[in-house]
Amino acid sequence: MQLVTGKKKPLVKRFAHAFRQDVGAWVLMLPSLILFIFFVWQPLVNGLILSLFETKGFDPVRFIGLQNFIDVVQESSFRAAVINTFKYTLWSLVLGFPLPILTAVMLNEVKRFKAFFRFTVYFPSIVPGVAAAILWSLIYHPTSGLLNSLLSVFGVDAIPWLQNQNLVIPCIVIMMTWKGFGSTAILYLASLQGVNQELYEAAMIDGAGVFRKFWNITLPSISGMFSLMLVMQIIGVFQVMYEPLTMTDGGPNNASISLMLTSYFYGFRFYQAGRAAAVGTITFLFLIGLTFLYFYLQRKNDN
Amino acid sequence: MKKVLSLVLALLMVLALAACSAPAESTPADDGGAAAQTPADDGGDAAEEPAAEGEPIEISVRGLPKETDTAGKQIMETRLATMKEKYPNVTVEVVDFPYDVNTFLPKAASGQLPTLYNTFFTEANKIISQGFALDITDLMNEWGYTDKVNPAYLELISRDGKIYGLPSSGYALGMWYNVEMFKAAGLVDENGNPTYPTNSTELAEMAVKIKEATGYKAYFFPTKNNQGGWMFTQLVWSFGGDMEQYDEENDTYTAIFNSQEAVDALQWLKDMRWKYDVVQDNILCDTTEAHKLFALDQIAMAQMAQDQLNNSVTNYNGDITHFGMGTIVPGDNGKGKSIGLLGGTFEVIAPNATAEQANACFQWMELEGTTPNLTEETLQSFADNAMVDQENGKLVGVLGLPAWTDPDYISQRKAAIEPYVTVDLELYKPYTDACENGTYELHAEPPVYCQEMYKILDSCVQAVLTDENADPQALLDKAAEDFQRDYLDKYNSGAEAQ
Repeated sequence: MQLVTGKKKPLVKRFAHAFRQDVGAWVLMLPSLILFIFFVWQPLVNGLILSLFETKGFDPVRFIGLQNFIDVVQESSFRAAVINTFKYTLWSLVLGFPLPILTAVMLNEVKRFKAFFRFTVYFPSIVPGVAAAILWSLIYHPTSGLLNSLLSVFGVDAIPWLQNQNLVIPCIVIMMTWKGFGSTAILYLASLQGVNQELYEAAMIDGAGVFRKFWNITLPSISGMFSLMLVMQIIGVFQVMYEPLTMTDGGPNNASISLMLTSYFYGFRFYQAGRAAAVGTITFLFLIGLTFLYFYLQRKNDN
Repeated sequence: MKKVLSLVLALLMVLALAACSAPAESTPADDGGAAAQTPADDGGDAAEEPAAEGEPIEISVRGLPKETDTAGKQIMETRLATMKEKYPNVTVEVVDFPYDVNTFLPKAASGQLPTLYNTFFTEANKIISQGFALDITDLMNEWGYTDKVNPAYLELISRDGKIYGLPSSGYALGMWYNVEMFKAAGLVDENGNPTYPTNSTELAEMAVKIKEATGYKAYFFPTKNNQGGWMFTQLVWSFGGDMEQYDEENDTYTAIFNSQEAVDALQWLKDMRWKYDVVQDNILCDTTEAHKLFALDQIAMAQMAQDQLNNSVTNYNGDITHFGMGTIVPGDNGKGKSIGLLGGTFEVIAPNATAEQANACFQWMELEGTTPNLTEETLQSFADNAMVDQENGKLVGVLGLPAWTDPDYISQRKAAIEPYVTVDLELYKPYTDACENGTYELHAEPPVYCQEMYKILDSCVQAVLTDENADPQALLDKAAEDFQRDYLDKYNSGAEAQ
């Protein structure tokens, strides 16, 4: 788009002029723009407004300022929810971040049955979310679960996976990783295939080993992808909701409750849409904060 | 030319999108919800203006039989035909409406509730306070139901002297037993009938015996979806405690579920898990798990409502004759009492119904036998329903605590379903006798922020069942303090009405 820089013209006129110049582009954008307004921006703004009101059903009835925010922050389970949400994010970075990279590198090296391996890796992503969560609840079942049955073969006592307050979040993160690593791996794979093969050949001539090639060529080539995936993963995992809802209902003793699950409880179990929106807004603010922090660090790093 | 073309294109797209988004206008985001769900005030004079003959009225009602339920479908067709015959101007559409907390609010807010729906007493507070139930006080008086409703139930669905629903079924929580497992453990009297426990210690000892005989942990306690708190409330009452205390003088509520009696109850539950080791392995579950375990003959005792085990039959192919029922046993702490939490279902008319529609709903309920008026048709309905239940292997014969108190009504209803009884009523006698002769004290749910309290108590129950070192007193102290601060104090200060 060519910007009109004439400073003396009033703002409205400048916009009108810009619009006239790009009317074709606007027309092309219009359908998605309208859909965005209806399904993304309008609910977003409505959520913000709702969080400032006392609600009846989904209708705002009385403006109460920040009372909803004060109420939800004061509630005892809120602290647990914030801490747990960060725990989910950290665990998912530990368990879930390196895995797709390694998988993609391996997939890239595979010479035979490429399609088969790619499909296999992607397969868990096809499983519907709640179904995957139920499946893993069965795997983690304290007595008849697959995991404990396997362990018992090696003489290990049954571990109450999801019922252990310290294990529950890593267990859920493992399920989330299983479900999500395939699609991320495919993205990394696409990025890997764009790496210039001549670099490897040159390195080979210089006598570089496998690890050296990985460290000095592969990783730098796809590092742009890392930062994107990191932000996406943090944003995604920060909103973890249906996994604990399906598997543990936030238990045992709030050990797996998350911010968005708290919001869900307010909205659908207690019918307090205002408070639900307040928790949503707080989560939104956390995410904005984290994203800014990330960009700040990145810029600092670049300098 | 180019410009004209793009303008025309743009116009077309806008039109197309406007058409697409038309339904969205009635979604909750817009004020369509508010318009659709006007508060219940204007429905009061419903019965005063009965529908003029011939004026067409359309209503939608809950209760669509399942596709596989051929007997049920047939009866529904007959009932629809009778309705058509009696009230030719009323068109009834029967819809599938299982009350579900996850979908109720969006449906209600977008005006998509059936004209007549039903729900549980546990939901009454939320539904009435949010304005999703029509005030039917006048209709209730007009049809002469008000005086005939069991007052205990009427209280649950009335606010400020106005009635917001018609109770249709009721129960007090009881103790379900798997009779086959009792027999396997030799817990029977000289006639071969199972002997049910009479207090909490006896229950624990019997559970141990059943575990030794069958290999299955015999006692079930839910912990998820607010059911842990729900069942724990029952347990606290059985141990002689209470949850909320009302101070009439100051009009305030205090959380008192950290009393010695409540701690005794939680300690008992903890012992069931760690001392006796008789609680189901999968702790993080709700009663759906009990339905399954009962069907598989893998659990012998659980606190439940009398109609819940029908789910064992319907969903898990269980055998209804394997089950029996008693009252919930008093706690063995010197203060225990025989007491049951009151529950059941009530019929609600959607707040956007017109006076004529509301009246038509009453006509429909009269026909299907949800009301206290006994006519030939309602008696036939009872028999029909019982026959369908019998065909589907469900529980028939245990009435529990009917919503209507008239002894004549109860005896006639019993007579109507007698040919279809599916269970040995002897196995239910401890429960039915106690309900009928009044030795089972009945207790309504805590009045203020009940579901929120259950959620907090879920955590306490989960803690003692998953952590051997959990301290019941400390847990309940914290829970009571949190609940008092987060909810009751605010309620007391009038900062928010529930």
